Amino acid sequence: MANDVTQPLLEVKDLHTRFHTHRGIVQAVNGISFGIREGELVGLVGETGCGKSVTARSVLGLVRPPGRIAEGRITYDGIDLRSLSRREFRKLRGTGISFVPQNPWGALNPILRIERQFRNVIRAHTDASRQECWDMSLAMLQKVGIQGPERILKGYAHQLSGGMAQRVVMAIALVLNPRLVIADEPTTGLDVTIQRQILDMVMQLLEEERRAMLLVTHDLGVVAQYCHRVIVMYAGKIVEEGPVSEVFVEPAHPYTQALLAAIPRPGHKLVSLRGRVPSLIDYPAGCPFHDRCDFAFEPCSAEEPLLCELSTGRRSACHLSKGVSELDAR
Amino acid sequence: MTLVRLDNVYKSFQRAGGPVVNAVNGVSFEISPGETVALIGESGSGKSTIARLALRLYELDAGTVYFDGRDLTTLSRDELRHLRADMTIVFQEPYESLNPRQRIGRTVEEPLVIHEQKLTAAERHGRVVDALNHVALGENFYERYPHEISGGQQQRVGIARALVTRPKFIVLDEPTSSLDLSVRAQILQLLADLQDEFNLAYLFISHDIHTVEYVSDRICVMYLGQIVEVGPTAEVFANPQHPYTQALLSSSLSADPRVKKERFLLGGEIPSATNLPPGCFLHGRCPSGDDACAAAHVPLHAYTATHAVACIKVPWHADAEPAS
Ligand SMILES: Nc1ncnc2c1ncn2[C@@H]1O[C@H](COP(=O)(O)OP(=O)(O)OP(=O)(O)O)[C@@H](O)[C@H]1O
Ligand SMILES: Nc1ncnc2c1ncn2[C@@H]1O[C@H](COP(=O)(O)OP(=O)(O)OP(=O)(O)O)[C@@H](O)[C@H]1O
Ligand SMILES: [Mg+2]
Ligand SMILES: [Mg+2]
Repeated sequence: MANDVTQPLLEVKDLHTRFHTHRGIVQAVNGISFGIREGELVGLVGETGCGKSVTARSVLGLVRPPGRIAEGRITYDGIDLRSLSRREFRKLRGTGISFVPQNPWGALNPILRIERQFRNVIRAHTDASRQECWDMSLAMLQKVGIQGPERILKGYAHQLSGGMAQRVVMAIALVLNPRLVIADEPTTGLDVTIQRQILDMVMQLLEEERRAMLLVTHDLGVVAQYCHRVIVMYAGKIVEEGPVSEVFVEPAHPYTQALLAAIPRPGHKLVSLRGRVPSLIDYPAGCPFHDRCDFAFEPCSAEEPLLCELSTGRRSACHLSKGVSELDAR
Repeated sequence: MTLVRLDNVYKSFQRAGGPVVNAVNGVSFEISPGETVALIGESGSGKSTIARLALRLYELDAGTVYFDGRDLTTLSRDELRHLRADMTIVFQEPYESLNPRQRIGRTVEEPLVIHEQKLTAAERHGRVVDALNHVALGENFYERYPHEISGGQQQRVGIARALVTRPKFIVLDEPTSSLDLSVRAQILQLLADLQDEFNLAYLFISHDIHTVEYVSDRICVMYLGQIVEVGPTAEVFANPQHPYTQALLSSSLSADPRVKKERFLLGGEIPSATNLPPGCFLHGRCPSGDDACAAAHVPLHAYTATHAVACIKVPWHADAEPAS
């Protein structure tokens, strides 16, 4: 596990990402801060629309108009990512931060052989020969569990099933052994047994190589079983963060508690959340969760709770959690 | 007593010029009044096709479907239309199944207009309001449009529409898959309450193991258009016999990090429904698959009095020894 004294590999500070729409300004990511250390596998969870993908895209420099990063610092290995040009960002891909999107078809080029798509990524960073590229690609495809990788390399994207295409995209993302992988719902929509096969292989590989990952998902089970740490988002904010072994066993924030209680388990009464996620355009005063929360009391509708450190590496934004020190949001 | 019975049902599709897709390959099961039977299996295993065959929304290639003792495959259009009030369906995507230009009240009313032509407008209105109340939406949703309400509310509208004709049987095709966890819980609770109140039978389709375990009395596990295991849900979850069921159950990941995930045993890829392998459809991925598995197709056979499995490695129940 990552060592606490080292600087985070990726550090996000007070990130605000907004979309300027005709209905108003959507505060998709509303002042979040977090870090990921070398070798750390971090899950990012929360309900639909809470800002997970926008967070990932902000870090990757992929927010496009009408979206805009309004504020915040994003540092990777000492580099200020917001100051990079698109070209410099592309340089970082592959060896630094690589990206696995939810839809593999969008990430694969339909008219290039798979072999060529690997080679383009490898050659952007190294002067490997054609044969070396082939060998690296082949080895990587085997590592993600593809049988008969030669045939795949010689073929095209349309010849692949969904599960195979997702593995190929992962293999391309991992082939240069990047220090940080950002994956947005990489197995959502795949069959559960195939999902399990892919996750077993990829997460083991990352762990062995001590690579870091930010895994965006709405599947709490995936995070509980494969990640070290979890970040829980609600309405554009981080409401809880900490080691998986603590957050999923004793959640501090009422929202995390509600999410876990909503998982159907035989013999337990299902607990459901009332109400709806607040509008990201007319952001409510106070805690964004207060009108759905069973524990809300006076300060909750008036004053926004800050993300407080409960113990080392464990944070929660709730007036009821007693923090050891209040972390300033900035 | 059974309300719904599928008997050795087959269905294949062929798109123009394309290969034949063998979507459903000899499926049989039954559902009693008040019972929830779950169909679980991976994408493309034929669940939605069965949902439609069970209501004869598709014509069957072979086999029979019985509803309330009547053979649906022999009924005329008119006879079927009357029965449609008794057997309804809720589709997976709430938004797609609603007409965006039609008010909620009208959407819910539509089945009454089509299937219960004897009702007056006032009676229909009363029934719609009643259905909306039952799904906890209330009369003030009557005039709204689909885009003005949330995904969970849209799914409630779909349920109200399925409920308004006061059916005995509802097919629920992934009714909660497109919903967030917190909203999913509300819908599952609602479905359970409605079942208790009206003694409804459900065919509940899902690929979520946690949901199926929670809601169903019996479970059918599907792989490539066949049922590979069927039995009481608690029994199948406690003692899964088919290697595919075992793999499916072990692929479900607990959100409790103290519960360690089981080792996962299947390899390879799911074969294509256009090119089904001989013998057991799983043998290429199965850790205990051998030549015998590749050679012969194994029918579903009794493992206990209530639990049946389609795997030659699984012993036959004493009373159900094959004749040969
Ligand atoms: N291009 C856009 N224009 C306007 N609003 C946007 C745009 N992209 C995202 N948003 C808004 O930003 C918010 C966060 O969206 P995001 O895609 O990050 O959610 P998410 O947590 O990834 O959800 P999901 O689980 O559905 O993928 C949402 O309210 C969304 O409507
Ligand atoms: N109308 C159709 N025309 C052609 N092929 C079809 C049609 N409907 C289904 N199929 C094919 O039949 C097979 C079974 O599909 P079906 O939709 O029943 O699966 P499913 O188990 O419901 O999958 P999912 O979990 O993805 O909803 C698939 O291979 C599918 O592509
Ligand atoms: Mg997203
Ligand atoms: Mg389906």
